[in-house]
Amino acid sequence: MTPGGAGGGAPCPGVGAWSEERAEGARAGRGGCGGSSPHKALEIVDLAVTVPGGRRVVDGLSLAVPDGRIVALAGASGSGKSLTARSVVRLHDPSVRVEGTIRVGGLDVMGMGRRELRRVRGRRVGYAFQDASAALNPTLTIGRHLAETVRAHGAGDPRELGAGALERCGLDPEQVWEARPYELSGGQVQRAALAVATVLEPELLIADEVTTALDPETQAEVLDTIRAQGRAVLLITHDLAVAGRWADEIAILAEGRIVEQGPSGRVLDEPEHPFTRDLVAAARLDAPFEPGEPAGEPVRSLRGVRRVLHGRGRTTLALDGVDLDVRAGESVAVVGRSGSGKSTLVGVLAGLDRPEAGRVLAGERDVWGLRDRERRALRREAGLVFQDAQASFDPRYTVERVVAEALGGREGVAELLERVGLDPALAGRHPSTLSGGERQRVALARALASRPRILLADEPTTGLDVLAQERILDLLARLRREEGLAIVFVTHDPRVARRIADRVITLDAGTVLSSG
Amino acid sequence: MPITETRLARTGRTGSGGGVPFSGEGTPPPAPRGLLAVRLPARRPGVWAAALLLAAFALAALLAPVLTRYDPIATDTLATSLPPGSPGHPLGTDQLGRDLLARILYGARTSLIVGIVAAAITVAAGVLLGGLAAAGPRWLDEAISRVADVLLSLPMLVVVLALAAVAGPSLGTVILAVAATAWMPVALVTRAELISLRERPYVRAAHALGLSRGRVLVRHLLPGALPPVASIAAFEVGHAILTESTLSFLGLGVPPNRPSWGNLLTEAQAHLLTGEWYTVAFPAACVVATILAVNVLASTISGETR
Amino acid sequence: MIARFLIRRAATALAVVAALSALCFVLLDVAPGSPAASILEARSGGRPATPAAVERLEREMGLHDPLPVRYGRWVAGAARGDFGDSYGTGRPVGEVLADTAPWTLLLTAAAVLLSVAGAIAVGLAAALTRRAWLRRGIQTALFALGGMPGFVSALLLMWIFSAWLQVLPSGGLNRPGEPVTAGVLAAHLVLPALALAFGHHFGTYARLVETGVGRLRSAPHVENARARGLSRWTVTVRHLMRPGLVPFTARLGVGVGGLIAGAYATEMIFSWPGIGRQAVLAAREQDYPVLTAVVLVTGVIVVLANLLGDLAVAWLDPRVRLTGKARHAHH
Repeated sequence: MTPGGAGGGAPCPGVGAWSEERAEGARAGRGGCGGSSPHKALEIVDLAVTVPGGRRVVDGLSLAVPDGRIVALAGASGSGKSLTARSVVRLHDPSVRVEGTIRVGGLDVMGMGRRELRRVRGRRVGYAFQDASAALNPTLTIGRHLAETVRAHGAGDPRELGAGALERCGLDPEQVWEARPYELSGGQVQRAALAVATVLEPELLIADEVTTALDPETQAEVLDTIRAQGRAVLLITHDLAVAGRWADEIAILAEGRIVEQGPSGRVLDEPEHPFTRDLVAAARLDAPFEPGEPAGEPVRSLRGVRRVLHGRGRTTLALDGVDLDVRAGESVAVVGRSGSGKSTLVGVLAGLDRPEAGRVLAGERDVWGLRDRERRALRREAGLVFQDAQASFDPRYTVERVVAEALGGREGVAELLERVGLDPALAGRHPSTLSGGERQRVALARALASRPRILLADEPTTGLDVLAQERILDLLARLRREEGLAIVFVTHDPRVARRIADRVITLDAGTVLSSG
Repeated sequence: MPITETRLARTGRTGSGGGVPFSGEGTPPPAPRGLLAVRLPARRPGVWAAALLLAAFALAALLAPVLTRYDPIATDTLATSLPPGSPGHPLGTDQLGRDLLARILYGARTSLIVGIVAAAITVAAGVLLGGLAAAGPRWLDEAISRVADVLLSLPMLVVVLALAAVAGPSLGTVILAVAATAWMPVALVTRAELISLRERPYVRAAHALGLSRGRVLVRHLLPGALPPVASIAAFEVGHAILTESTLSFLGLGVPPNRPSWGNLLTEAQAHLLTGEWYTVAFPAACVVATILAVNVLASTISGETR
Repeated sequence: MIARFLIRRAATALAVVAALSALCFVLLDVAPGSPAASILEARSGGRPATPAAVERLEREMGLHDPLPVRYGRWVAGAARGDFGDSYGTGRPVGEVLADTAPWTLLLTAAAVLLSVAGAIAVGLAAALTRRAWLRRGIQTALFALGGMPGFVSALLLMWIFSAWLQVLPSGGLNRPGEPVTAGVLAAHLVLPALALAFGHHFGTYARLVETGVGRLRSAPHVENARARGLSRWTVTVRHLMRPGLVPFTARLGVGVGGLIAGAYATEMIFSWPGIGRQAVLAAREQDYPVLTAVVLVTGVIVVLANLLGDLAVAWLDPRVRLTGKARHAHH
């Protein structure tokens, strides 16, 4: 992982393999790892949440966050993490039924009236949301958000408190006070949202997947900031690596309950519950990397490729003089921050986007020197998998039609689906009714239909939970081993890259920074 | 799979706005659209009622000479201002003794023909121009979009009025005036649909499969663009009928001696206060019912539920 | 940023006015009949003029000059408020406009107020209510309203309130010999203003409010506002309505144009002495100078209204200043 988190002795015993990634930060005066503080910032007992339609997503959940400690609530997507978090300040629509006991700093939240509840929200419990840019009002400045929160609670001078909160979150008040959310970078918005959530110094912060959309460096910066503030945090995450590095304790949520809770090191190193074991194994990405056959002839090559993107009113240089060879049977991971040109690279390799300068070679042939018909034949030699699988299917098509279109007929659809580990009985369904992992398999089946020599995968596991991600990575490794497929795998996660690839190339601002 | 990614049932139903930015996991399933967008939901009685009503109006207009023995413009000094339900005149007569039923039936001919023909021209021109803007060179796109934008920000009824005044009232003038002033939304919607579809990942995926441009157009672009375009086309029929009736009502549309629903209303307006409300009510009800029925069908096509 | 946005919008507005003026002039130019003959007829009380007299006047009026010259002269005149003389009455068109325009502005202003207040109230009620039947009821009513041409709603209102209940006058304001007091004015204003407000795209506006606000109801930034303990009022006004009303406001500028155009039929029905009625009468009598002048003036008012609408949107949602595409800021 990126610098910033390592260092600082591990305070907890038995952290083992995860200790190198533990963040310590300025957490002075904490109660130590094992000992529980007598005072609890948050206590949930026997929580049940029923969504409209009668399904009880959370059922019998109990959880405590001691003062000044960070407790991670981890689980697969859809396991009820966010429902639980929202219940703490009762943000749900009245159609969602919440039962059980919730105490914030000893006060019973469930028994509160609207007015009392308002005094708790923002003042005693700060809430930071997943997508910070969407969680702030686009028509208001950051300063206005801070000030209105202070005023709503009559807590003091808005400007002074607001500026203090921004500084605590590592932002310059002069610079961002008058800015609107969309004028800031991803990391800045998340910090600003944190400042808005903690402007009144609440004793508990609920951080709901706050860094999911950020690249690893920014993620580390933001989480370090949270950790440095020393307040109790309920950290909602699907990423065990994040939980292990920044949380004091981890609670694993499955089937609506906490199946396991304990100090981070213990949970990660000696998981007790079978579900936790699966989750930990998947999150470690420690399946052995198996190198494929020695790389053969280049399948696709780029020579000095330059591509300019014309956006609204501005043009960006997405690729700037990129040279690359992808050889038969090798696996190349492409990493880089968002906006570094990764997706553009895929489009150029696929022969879909024409570069402004430079050449795209398929073997010896220049892709853009060919006639249209020949270029289309070349496109069939590359299979393409997108980040958002659902968007890559015609909304009118069933699974069978999606795959059959690529095959040129219905024959062989069932076999292809089995090859990617899907039940052929799913063929008649619409992809929108499948889970994220299943959809990505359908996309893989489509990509494999034309028996490609190279597979181009653009962040295929982003947005999947760790278990689904692990299965997709396994499948890719097997395909490569068994069929000698060359793979270009775009990801923003260095761990995934190491897990899948013979070599990793790093893109930055359209140029290859490092290769190897 | 031990854990399926269950989509949390989202709370807080919204209007038909869609595009709700949620922070939650999972994507809401998109509403499936019919291939040709003509699969009317059989369970919605309103839709069937609208379709039946339009069919009935069309049939009545076609069979006007069979359904009534009166001439819509023949006056009868012996039977003036008869109330509805009078023997031989089920809807009554106007002050000149003209049979109201006959006038409404023949008026339906004019109004429906103007509505359908004008809408057809509007949609054809709009789809053509929108398609050209989406597929053609940049300058053409700019030119078409700009002109459409400018025309959209003008009060078109006013311009039509001026056009009609100069060209003189006639059926052709009305049709051309409606088409010339209503093609812009169709063109802009067609253009926007095609462009947004072109950039969808699934269209890109189709290109990546090596499909030719023509095949991508036929298999993915057109079926995707059809429902919104068909919907706006249907709305255009309603709009054309509305414009015709308004123009005729103002005495600047269909020539006054030819019955149309708008013309009927012009003449009847004066009798509204003298107790002959039915001379206004019947034609007005026809106009409203037709436009409503067309709008019901249009919004069904566009997938809007109400 | 805001200055650039404004300059762009103003440039577009100018282009629209130029296009409209050209259109008006061409209409005036190709219109059948000779203006000179019409004027001579009007001056002499209806006696046909001799061809020689017509020819002389045409020369005097410069009608034989090349088209660009005539257009330039017409534009220069129009800019000073000089649109020539009416064919029908021989009065200067500028005077006719000055007599009638204030009435139309009064009527439209009242209608815009009613329309905006009504659309926001109804749209918000539908968006925020938890009662499904109420929302459905409002949606159905709005849909039904959308199928009603403006003049039909006007006739309906007149029939209910003037013929049946007989509580409001059906028209006849500003008759000679009847002084217009505030009470008389108000009584006469009610029906046309209602007809204009609810007969022209009211359903569209209310639905824009409903969908704009409704889809934000569970938006992250609204949840965030609630999670910070803001009062219900602040959440509704600042976080739901301000961003939620953007599509409505963007459409409103265009809609004012629709209202002014709709005023033509409404003014005819209620014999309201405004420019719309004047335009229809002029069109029927083929009094082209009056007609084209009214069209041009209406167009300019509409363009100004659009510009105001853009300004309001830019104030509500600063993001549009970046793209300059106020009218396409919806969904």
